[in-house]
Amino acid sequence: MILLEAKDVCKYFHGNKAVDMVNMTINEGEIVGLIGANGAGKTTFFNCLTGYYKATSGTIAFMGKSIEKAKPHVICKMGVGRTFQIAKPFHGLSVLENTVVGAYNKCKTKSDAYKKARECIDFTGLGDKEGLDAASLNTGEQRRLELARALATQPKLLLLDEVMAGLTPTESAEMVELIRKIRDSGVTILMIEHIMPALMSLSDTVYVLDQGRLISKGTPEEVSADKQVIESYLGKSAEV
Amino acid sequence: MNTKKINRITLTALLVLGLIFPFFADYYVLCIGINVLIAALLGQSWNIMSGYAGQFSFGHAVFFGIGAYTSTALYTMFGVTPWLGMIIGAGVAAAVGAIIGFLSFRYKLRDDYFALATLAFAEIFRILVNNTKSLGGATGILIPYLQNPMEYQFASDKTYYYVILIFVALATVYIALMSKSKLGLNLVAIKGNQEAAAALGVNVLKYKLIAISSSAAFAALAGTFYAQYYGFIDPSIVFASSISVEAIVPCIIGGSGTLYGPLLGALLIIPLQEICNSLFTSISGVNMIVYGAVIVAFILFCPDGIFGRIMKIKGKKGAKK
Repeated sequence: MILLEAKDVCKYFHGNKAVDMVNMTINEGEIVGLIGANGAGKTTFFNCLTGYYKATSGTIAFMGKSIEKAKPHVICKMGVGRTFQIAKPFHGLSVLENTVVGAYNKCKTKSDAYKKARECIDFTGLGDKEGLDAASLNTGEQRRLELARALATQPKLLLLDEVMAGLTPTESAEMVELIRKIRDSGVTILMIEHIMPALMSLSDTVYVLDQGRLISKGTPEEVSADKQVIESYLGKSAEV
Repeated sequence: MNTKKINRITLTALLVLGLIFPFFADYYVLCIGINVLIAALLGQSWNIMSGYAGQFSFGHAVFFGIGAYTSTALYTMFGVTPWLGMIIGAGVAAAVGAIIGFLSFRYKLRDDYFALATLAFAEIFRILVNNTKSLGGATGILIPYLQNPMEYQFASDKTYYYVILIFVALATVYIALMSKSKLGLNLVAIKGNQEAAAALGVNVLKYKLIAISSSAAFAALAGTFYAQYYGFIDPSIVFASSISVEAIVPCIIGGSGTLYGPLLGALLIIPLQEICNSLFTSISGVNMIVYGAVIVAFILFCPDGIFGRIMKIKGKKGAKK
């Protein structure tokens, strides 16, 4: 089943084509990777999908419903969760309370919301930190908190914007496992990532952006063999 | 000692002090007590919108003034009891707050610019009322004193004291309930990062408007009380920027975004003002210099406010263990 379908999505900033005629189809249960050099338009495309930017043209449908004009919180209510490139924990709230904010997206009562939030904190391995102020977490834990919060909104589709940036190799490996676990729990994933081994091992399909345009799409093997991709992004070493 | 215990001790101390204070105070000290409570109510009002939700208001006088003018105009023109006028005033202030918020947030005013917009609205209202003859214009409105409790007028200042004490208690209970609820969490999340809050399904505009409206309503209650207690209002008193400052300072000195911060702040700042005024009578202006210096010292050494400081010391002690 098609979960998300973006057709000819463009986003211009004063004539600068940040996203240029991008098409993307995400099927339920997939992990889709989105790669490209810095400034290729990945995060801008994410922002179009989640309502932070209004696409200049093109259509975006989530489960058959058009969302290109919807506000971020409405898109979240519909079942699209996201994390941010720079973790944005709410200072002054505990890890648990941070996650409860997300849980109220679907939970009606306080006890349900707290139950759901605890579940997500345990799932992401922050169980022993629930009482700490979110400001006191390290980078790895902040990433986990971003995930826990997004999961607490009970998304069908989860958009991950560089969740592995700034993590140690050990933490990255744990994150790969966690992302797999999330997919296995029934959440479809679209992720931007610069750490190639992680992305290639996780993704079913990979999309490659270059200067706002989609230059390649396919399985990780197909994409890493694509000449244009190697030239514009992966670099010569990928050939070896 | 955990947060709950600190909260409980603070609450008990404040409550006991608040209840028995009038029995030990002469007329002058009781007046100061009432002013402390007015500042505390304004501080708590500001706390909701700016301390918790992070929407910095520099124009809380607009809500204070609307409260004062609505109940007073209804009373002097139509004989509506200020008890009812107070509620209508709170409603009008909440509506005006929602309009100010809607206009500001619609045009994506944030932080400093939002603060400037609130300042501008307070000035607009001051000038409007100043030029409205039916509202007394610049001469203001004198409230006939009938000493009738049904008309929100009391023979004894002690009664006034307890009335404003109840309002402060109400505001504090409201914030206590709010801070642990969905509303409170969402407001703190919006203060933290509104994009991230929206990504978690929080309707940012709606919650900001709830914050500004409820904040406005409490400020309006303070406005009506002021009018009834002093018996006279004019635009340069109730829409003054000094009123806006009186809403901000107790909250920041005491600890913004904390339950008891504004109460502690008001308890410190108003008596300080009075002491400065009475100590330095010979040279005019010295009182404000000393008052200003003390505030600067507080900002330097206690940037999180008194309550924030207590929490920090407690946090450090906890970490040492």
